[in-house]
Amino acid sequence: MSYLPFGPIHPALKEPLRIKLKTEGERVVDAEVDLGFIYRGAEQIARGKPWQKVAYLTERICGICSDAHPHTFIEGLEAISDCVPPVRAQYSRVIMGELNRIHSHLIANAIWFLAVEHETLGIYNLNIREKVMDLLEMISGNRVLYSWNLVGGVRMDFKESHLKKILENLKEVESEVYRYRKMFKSDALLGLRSHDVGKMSKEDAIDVRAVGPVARGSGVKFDWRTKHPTYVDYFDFQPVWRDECDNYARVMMRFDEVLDSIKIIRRAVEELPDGPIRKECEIPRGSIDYRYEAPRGELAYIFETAQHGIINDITIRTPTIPNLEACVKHMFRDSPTIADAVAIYQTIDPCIACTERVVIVDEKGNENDFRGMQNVLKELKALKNKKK
Amino acid sequence: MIRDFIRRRSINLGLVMTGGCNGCDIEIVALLSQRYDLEQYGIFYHNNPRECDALLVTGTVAKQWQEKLVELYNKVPEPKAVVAIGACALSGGIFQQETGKVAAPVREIIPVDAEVPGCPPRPAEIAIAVLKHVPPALASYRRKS
Amino acid sequence: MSSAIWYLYEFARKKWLERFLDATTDPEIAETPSRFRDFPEVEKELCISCGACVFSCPSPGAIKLVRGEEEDTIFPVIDEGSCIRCGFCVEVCPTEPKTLKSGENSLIMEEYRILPHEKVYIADEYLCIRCKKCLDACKVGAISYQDNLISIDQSKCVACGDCIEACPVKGAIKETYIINLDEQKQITNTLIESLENTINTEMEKIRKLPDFDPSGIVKLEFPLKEIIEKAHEIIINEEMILKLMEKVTDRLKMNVIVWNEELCNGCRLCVDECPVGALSYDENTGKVQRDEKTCLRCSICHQTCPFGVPELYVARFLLKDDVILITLKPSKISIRS
Repeated sequence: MSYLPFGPIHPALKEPLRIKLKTEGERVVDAEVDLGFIYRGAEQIARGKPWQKVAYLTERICGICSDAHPHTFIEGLEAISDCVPPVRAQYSRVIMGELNRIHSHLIANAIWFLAVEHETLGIYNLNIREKVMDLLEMISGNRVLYSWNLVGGVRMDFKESHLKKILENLKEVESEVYRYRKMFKSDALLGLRSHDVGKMSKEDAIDVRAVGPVARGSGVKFDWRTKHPTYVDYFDFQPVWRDECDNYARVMMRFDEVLDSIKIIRRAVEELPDGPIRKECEIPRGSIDYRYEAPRGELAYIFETAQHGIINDITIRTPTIPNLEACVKHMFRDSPTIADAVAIYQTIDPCIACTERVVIVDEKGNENDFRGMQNVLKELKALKNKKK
Repeated sequence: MIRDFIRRRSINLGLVMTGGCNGCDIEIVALLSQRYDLEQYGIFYHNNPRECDALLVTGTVAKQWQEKLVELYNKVPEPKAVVAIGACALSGGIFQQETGKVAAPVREIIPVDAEVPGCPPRPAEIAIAVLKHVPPALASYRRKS
Repeated sequence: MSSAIWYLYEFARKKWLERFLDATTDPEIAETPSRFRDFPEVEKELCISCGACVFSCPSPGAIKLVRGEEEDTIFPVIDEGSCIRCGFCVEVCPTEPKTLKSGENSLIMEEYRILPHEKVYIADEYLCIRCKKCLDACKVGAISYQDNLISIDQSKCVACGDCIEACPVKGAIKETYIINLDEQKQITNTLIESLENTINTEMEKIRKLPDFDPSGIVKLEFPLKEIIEKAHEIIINEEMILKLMEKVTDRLKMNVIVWNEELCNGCRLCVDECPVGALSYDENTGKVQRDEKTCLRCSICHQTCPFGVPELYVARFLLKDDVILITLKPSKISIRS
């Protein structure tokens, strides 16, 4: 029995984090995760700031799901103020959100292919992703951070030429993704690295509260988009899921979701209604627990506002937190080689920039100055009881 | 002279993410794609600081990284160059506030040869900065006593 | 076999050969679309130095207002190292055409207020003398004159404070901070409490007042330093604290009741008159007691008492440099006979 640490800087890792693998020869028996290298204190910065500034800050929590963070935050604010944005704005949010999902899934798969040293598919994925990045830059003005959502609508309108370009580029992306999917499916070497590696059963996935593609790859049929008002009203959305429970399922999930997202965008572009893109909303005092399906899974924003849209307190729960736990607890177990452990780690699509959130442990049980998730949830419960 | 000539045409990059949002990092990863094709200029991306010539530092230097970054810089073989990428690495950006836990800018912790502003900079901007500043920085590097 | 033919066919093409010999990246990678939010460009001549861009910037230190070499030219300067290219400064810029330009963000019309304000400016109908100086001073056209009333449109106001400087009447345009309301309340309460404490400690001096000068006044001083230190623990912004204190001292009028127990005859006329029941008859001493905490300082007992037990003084305050000047004088409310 020996320990093999890797990270915070390691050729296989793109982001700093330390994983300690407990090994028996080549076999991985157990693992430990050491976090906290890039904690920046975003929650503390957000306190006492107006929502306009906090929206820019939430975007910069994670650069890959940079539409999902402000999307959740802004829709939470709208839920507080009982304000429904115009239909055209809702459609444009869907288009942006799904484009963001496509680019996130493609880079996740690209990095997985690079991690198993299949460079051809990795570079192909990166290359086709550029088409999506071009669309995002053309629509919003920046390749990575879009600043697209505002309370009551979106910042800019689509032009006819934009819609045409979206359909044109997506056609190319779709055919290429079908091709890569076929390559991945039929490649024998990739099959060795993916089939029956990193197994996590459905029960285990539910047990560690895994979310997003990781849970859906293990047969959990849940997606927050099935409860999102826009998807319920205008798109009869059905989640994609698989039951292989291994690396193959998770990588395949991402390809399938890309194809699914392309279908949603195509439908949104074709049915895009006319009308205004923004509406005035007044933000009252209030608190909310709002969830949305980020590319990596469930993203929860629990926050409290003062008058004039000033944020009093905010707690963010990002999808990588439970997924990392699932990876360490269930997937690393009985991984045949250390090289496979790296491959398994990359299939959960970890985003450490998201994961570095506040955890306050108070030994004496004193009330800390950070008000925390439990306190806000307590108030929410009390409010619900009052209404009854 | 031959050594300098060869050094200019073969640069290994190492990426260090010290905080920030991943945005700059995925833009660097995007440089690997055929569209930008960094390798045609003799630049090879390898995430191992012990093998690289130039460190790309992104992100606000979080408090935990402050000492580790100096250690890491010392481990890079000589001659070496450092490129700081993004608003976070240059000044702390949006995180450089009273309650933020950051130790940016990078230039106060380790010597920096080139800076690329932007949040995040476009891949083309990063490629141009690396091509323009890293070879002269490597050529003019003097061993510190 | 077929793949070998394909390879031959593929590599023998002229296009492939050209590409192979001239393998460089397409120049289009450096091209940006029209919506690309680059670092904002500044047109110095258009700037009205309202400070909206500085205030709205989410990244500290990215944008600064700088005084130019010529007189009266102030314009924003952008620090590229700190700028996060969000384009928010461009959206909030109130000039027409915009001083700052970046991508197509400058085309976003300001139909709704997206600028976060800390302060709100309100014109006081009562104090306003209708000189209309603020109309000229406002550079964004937020102030209008209609039906003999000056009104400020909150959706256009950029909270620059030029109208207050132009206004000749103190208090005719009111500047109010709308953030940290609970904290402001706390500071106001602590200020009033400590002012009351200072008056209470000087009670003996007030008591003697009618003896030597029946129409005179008492002057006290209250140093600001301590209270500002206390307030700093609640709010960091110093300007905000000073503005708040000035407003409180300008408006505050405090009734002070001095209870001369030795004059009381125990007639109990006042006990039923008190609206909050702060007065009670003590059978042991045969005198009426006053509970200071519940007392409203409404002066009804002062008007009722035939013996002059409750004496009423009015305190007024003025903020000057680093002290608050307190002036106490006897109230002129008549005593009911």
